[in-house]
Amino acid sequence: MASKIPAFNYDTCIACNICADICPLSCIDMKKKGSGSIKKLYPILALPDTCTGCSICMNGCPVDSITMKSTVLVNAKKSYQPSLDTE
Amino acid sequence: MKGYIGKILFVNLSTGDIRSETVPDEVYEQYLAGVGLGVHTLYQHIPPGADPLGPDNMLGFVSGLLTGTPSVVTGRWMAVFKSPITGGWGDSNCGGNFSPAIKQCGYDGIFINGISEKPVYLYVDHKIAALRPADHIWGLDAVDAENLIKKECHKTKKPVVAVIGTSGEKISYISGIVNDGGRIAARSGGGAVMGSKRLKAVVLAGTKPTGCADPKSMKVISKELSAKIRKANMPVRGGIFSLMGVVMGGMKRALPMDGMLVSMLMKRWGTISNNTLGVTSGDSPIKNWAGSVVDYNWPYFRNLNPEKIMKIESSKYHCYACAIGCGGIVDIAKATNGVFIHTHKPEYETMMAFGGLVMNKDLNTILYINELLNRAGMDCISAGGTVAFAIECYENGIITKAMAEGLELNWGNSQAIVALVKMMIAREGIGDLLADGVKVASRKLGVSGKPFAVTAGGQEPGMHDSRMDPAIGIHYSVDPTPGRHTIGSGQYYDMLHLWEKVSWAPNSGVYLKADEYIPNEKTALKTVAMSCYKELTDGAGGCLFAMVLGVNHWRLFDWLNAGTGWQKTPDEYMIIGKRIQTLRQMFGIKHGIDPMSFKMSARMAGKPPLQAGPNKGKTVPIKEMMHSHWKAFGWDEKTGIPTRATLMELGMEKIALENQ
Repeated sequence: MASKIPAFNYDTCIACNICADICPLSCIDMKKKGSGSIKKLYPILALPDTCTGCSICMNGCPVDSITMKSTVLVNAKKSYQPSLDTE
Repeated sequence: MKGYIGKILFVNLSTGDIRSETVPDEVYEQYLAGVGLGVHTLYQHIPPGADPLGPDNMLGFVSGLLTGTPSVVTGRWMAVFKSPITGGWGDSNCGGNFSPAIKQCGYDGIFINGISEKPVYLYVDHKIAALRPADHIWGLDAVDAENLIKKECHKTKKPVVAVIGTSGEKISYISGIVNDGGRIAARSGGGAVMGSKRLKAVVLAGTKPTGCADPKSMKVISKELSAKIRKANMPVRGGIFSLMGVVMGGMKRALPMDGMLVSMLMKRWGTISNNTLGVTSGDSPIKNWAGSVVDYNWPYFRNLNPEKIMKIESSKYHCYACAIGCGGIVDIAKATNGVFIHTHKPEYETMMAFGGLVMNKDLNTILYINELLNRAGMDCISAGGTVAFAIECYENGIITKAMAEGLELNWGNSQAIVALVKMMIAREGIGDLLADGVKVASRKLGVSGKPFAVTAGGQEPGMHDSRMDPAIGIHYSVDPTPGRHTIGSGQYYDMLHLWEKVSWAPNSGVYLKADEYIPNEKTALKTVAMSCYKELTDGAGGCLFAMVLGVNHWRLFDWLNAGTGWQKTPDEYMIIGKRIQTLRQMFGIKHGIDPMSFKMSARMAGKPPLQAGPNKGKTVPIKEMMHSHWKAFGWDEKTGIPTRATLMELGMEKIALENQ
């Protein structure tokens, strides 16, 4: 996995699919179902292992809803989460 | 980095020659990209008298200038060509993800002439451009062909595909070019041009980013608009629209509205929000333009209530870069007895072309026809207009039951309508005669010029009644692509607020609806400003539904300056719009078009007037209005040919000299 991968802010994301379109490796998919009566589809990083962390999606986002997060932190959070659930 | 790439690709299908060409900066400054770059290129490359279905016709796929930059609702691509329907200028645009893909391959446009011996598809990425055999996908519908070819060409980046369905292969004049699983650049007959070249598809898989001058400033504008759209919600249900239509249809005065209303409607319902509102207000043409809501009344139009469609909408989707998101996928397994699983949410145009226009009240058949036409790649507006024409021919004994192979082509006979659409797609029996639209069919049946052969310049008009909004009738009749409902209307203009930015654009103010039916300078100037701004929008890759948000919300001029670094004033940009529109007109003149021949059918102008409904007794003096528009544009008032003075003023000296 790359050292940084995109993280999406769904509070400001407009579901415009620019990020999914411009990803040179098609790592982003519009698959996250939004809440509320309007059933929009929002982006997710579908192929995290393929992502190279190139930041093209972040730079292309017209409303700055993407930040590049360190995978060290992401992985640390992931591994910590199950222990929280079991407590 | 100015938002555009600066290069175009030429492909000759007869010789197999593929070459790229650099486009000078001046061309973009004069014509932007999109439709402007398209008409600039085709005007030079298509010789006068070229057969629209012959090797000399050139088919272009062009991306908007703002596509690929951090602007929003600017992701539309445009197909450009000489139209087989009118013999003049042809263009058609579509959303989805195809527009940015052109730029990601390193081009602003791809232009194709010649005719291939065998079916081929064009594959382009940021490294190569190649023609590949397409025998294995020839004969497939547009959706199946797209899926197959995507699988075949998928390496790292998912390819994006523009493809023709079987209607394009069969050179139906009313066929379009399909992308993203059934969206169609439908109008003007681009599918027939592509089919005549034996070009099944254009497949794009480039990964080049598009640069622009000031991305930060562009994002500031995008964030501002996106926040407004996010907050704009309409707290009503779709059932209220029929009542709203009654109120709107009865209004004696009109006034400028805030275009954000459109985003409220679009993001929740999409264009189907106009289904019942259009019928009751008088916007929707009923019974081949000879009826009204009195004929297509509550027991009929209640079946088109947008909430009925929302119940089967499984998800929404946005075109590339869109902050509104009017698209949707609807489940139609039940409606079609399992023949199809889902379809793109039908547009209002389809709903009305196969609803009120043919007096059909069966929603299931409209959903079924929607998917049939999407897959075949046939224009739903033209197909609906042609079916309505056929029904009236049947009523008048011009098409007999025997000719229709036993079909009883009565108004609202939904099963017969479905069967006829299938025959048109397959070009079987009477369907073969109808597959090229009303103009060709009426000529073959010997009824050209009859009141029920409803067209503008041979093109079936959009589903918006010119007797309710005379300005749309002007645009139907004067645009180089006649019958086009997306160029302009009085309602659109009132939402643009163009006068707040452009010095010469008239302020609508509060006005009497009755004044719209009287030819006058102010109305003419409004339609001129409208068409110039629409061409700018199409040059930038903008969407109509963003355009009508108005210049203070969808800030096209500011985005263009931030993207290109030009710092032009709105007035200077409007000159670009005027230049594009004038060259579109000159393309037709070069190819022998008489602009007066594009005048919409008498029935569309209320001659004779309707006897009932919201448009009762209304007539539009369309000929006089065309003259007023041409005069206000600086074109010859009588002939519609751009004057030498106007051409010189717009810096089109070479064209002025050629046409002396």
